[in-house]
Amino acid sequence: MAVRDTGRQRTIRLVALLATMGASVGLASEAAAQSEIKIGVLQPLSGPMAAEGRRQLNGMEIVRDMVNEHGGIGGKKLAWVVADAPDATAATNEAARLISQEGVKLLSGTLSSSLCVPASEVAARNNIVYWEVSCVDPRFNIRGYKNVFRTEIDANGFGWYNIEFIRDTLHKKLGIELKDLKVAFLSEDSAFGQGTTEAGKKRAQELGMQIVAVDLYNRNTMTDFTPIILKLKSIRPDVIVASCYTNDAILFWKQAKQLDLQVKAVLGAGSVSFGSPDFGKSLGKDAEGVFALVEPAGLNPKSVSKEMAGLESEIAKRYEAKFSEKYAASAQLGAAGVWILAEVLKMTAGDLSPDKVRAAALKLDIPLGGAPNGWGVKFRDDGQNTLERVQHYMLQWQDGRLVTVWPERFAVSSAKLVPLPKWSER
Amino acid sequence: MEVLPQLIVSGVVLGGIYALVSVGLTLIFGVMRVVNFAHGEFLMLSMYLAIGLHAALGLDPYVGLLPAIPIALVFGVLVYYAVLRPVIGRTHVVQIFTTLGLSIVLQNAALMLWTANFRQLQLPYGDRVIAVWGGVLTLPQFIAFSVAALFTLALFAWLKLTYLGKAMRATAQDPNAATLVGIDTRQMFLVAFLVGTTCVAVAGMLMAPLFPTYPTAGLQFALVAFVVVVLGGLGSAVGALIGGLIVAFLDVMGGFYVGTAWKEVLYFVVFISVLLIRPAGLFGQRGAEDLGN
Repeated sequence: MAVRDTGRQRTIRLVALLATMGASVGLASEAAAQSEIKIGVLQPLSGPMAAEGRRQLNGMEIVRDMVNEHGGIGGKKLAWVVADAPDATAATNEAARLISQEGVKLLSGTLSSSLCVPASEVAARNNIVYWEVSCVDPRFNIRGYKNVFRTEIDANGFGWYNIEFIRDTLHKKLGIELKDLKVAFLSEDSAFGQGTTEAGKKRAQELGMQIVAVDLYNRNTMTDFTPIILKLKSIRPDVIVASCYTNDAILFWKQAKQLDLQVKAVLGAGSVSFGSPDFGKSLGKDAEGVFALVEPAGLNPKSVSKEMAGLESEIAKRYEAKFSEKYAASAQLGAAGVWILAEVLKMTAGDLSPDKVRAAALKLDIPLGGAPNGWGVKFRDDGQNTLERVQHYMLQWQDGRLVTVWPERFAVSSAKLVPLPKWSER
Repeated sequence: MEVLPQLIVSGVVLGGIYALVSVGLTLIFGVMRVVNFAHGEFLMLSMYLAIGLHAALGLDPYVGLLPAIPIALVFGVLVYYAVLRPVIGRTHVVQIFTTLGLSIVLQNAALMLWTANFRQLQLPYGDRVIAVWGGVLTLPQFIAFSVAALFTLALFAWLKLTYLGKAMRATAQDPNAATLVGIDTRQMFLVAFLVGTTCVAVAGMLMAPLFPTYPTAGLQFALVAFVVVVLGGLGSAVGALIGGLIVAFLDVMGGFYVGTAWKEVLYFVVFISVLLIRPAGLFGQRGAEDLGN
């Protein structure tokens, strides 16, 4: 009995000790919390999207550190609580954990469209702000939530910019009036492809273009583009607007050559499609002249304000020194998103309450070229950054590289091979 | 270019490719009663092998077939003894989890070794176009189809005419009866698995110049291969060839006349209809699915 009593006493003492320690740790972290602004960050850090998720987190960190070095926001430092969200279930669970266990009052992230919608549901239920820097799912902003913001474009924007490029410059170079221009849409059938294509179709209709074909396919089972290409050959569109992933983009263009499909121009959105380095590598000189609407990269530094050009090159320099790899798309999206968030928080003096953040975000008005990556900022009422301000760029494969050819003020080269020559003459 | 001839040419070529991928699967399925979910990954590994041999030694994939076949055999023996042999005769659930697990391991190994990047094997003559029956096909497509057809027919002849082939068919028809007449069915399982693995290795080498290679490249063909195998009948090489052609024609014709978004609807409707009338598939042995358990 005595032994058990001693044991019980020991347990009580241990518990008391732990409680004291816990309290002191709690006090310490409370003290720290008062001098920092705690933000939950969700990114896929394991699983198939891990590489890009890590890049995005790295980009976000570089800007966070720069903000902190310059005195933080209202004397408080930005602090991350990072969680791994490789899939939708993990995103939901981790979002809930960050809010309930870690007590974060603002969530940010996430590389992918499959993550941002479920994670932001949790944020909305708990009435905190969700600050998205990357995903493009159009559903993100149409759920009627007041506290979801997205700095990046959505898939509708991809479709919109594709057609905007045709309206602004391509049809003139081709010498075809908009109302006479025959456009064919080719699209993989997931949310990305369909969203992009629907938006593109709508804009093309508004501008009076002739939509001569809309072909959808499942990219996971697409082994032969012959039927689509033969159809396009008989319809003879002037321009093909495609929303593909990489394997199908490569196969499509390879077979287009084989079956001698002649179009005047082909363009498509996304860094996974014609904009993928693998597209150029896989097709070599056959990729020449293809247009790709891609995240900001390789823009003309003269097109942004001097201050921002300096800031962007500073971010890139730090990123490349710290992570020894090139500062590119995913990281840029993360960096720009955090920079814009910091601008908003400066206006609220670090207050994360949804009403204050919303009021400040809606008030923020930065012209094009005023953010480090060449963007501007003007949030719509639904929390989406206005498409015109999230400048996207048309790049073209020239001499084995993707170079920015549109819009003019950002271009480093002019569009070549318009219209595309015959396959036999390339 | 006329539309119909081109659709026929494309359908025949695609059918040949589907058949070559499926024939290995149907053999393993028919003889061993094991659903090899890693079949697509074997295909993917072979495509990487073609790219590797081309990059490292400058070997044309058609010459590369010479080293590829022994490599596939060694790989097949390893996988057979390490993974498959312990689960032969066990319940389907055990087998499915084993081969599915193998598939996940191989996919992720490829992801680690070669990253998720898409690669395309480019041959100097890869774009050379041949005109046949009023349609066109590229030289690599032509070679792929010819080799696929020859390989399938040779396999068919081997199964029909040789002693080993007959023993294998006997094992496929009824393992217990085969054992009673003195056939070493365990050995037949190994032979079937090796022949199946070799077929898919050959398919991968032939397909590397035609399709982009990436860690999940095998999946899109594996799905079709399962349809082809069940449509043609488990264990039937001819069934694989005919089934491959049927699915490919529905793919291509349906894609053109109805729309590419509908192509799977079309071939699954045909698939279900055939199974309603002939549950064992077009050339399958009736009741085969219940044997060997």
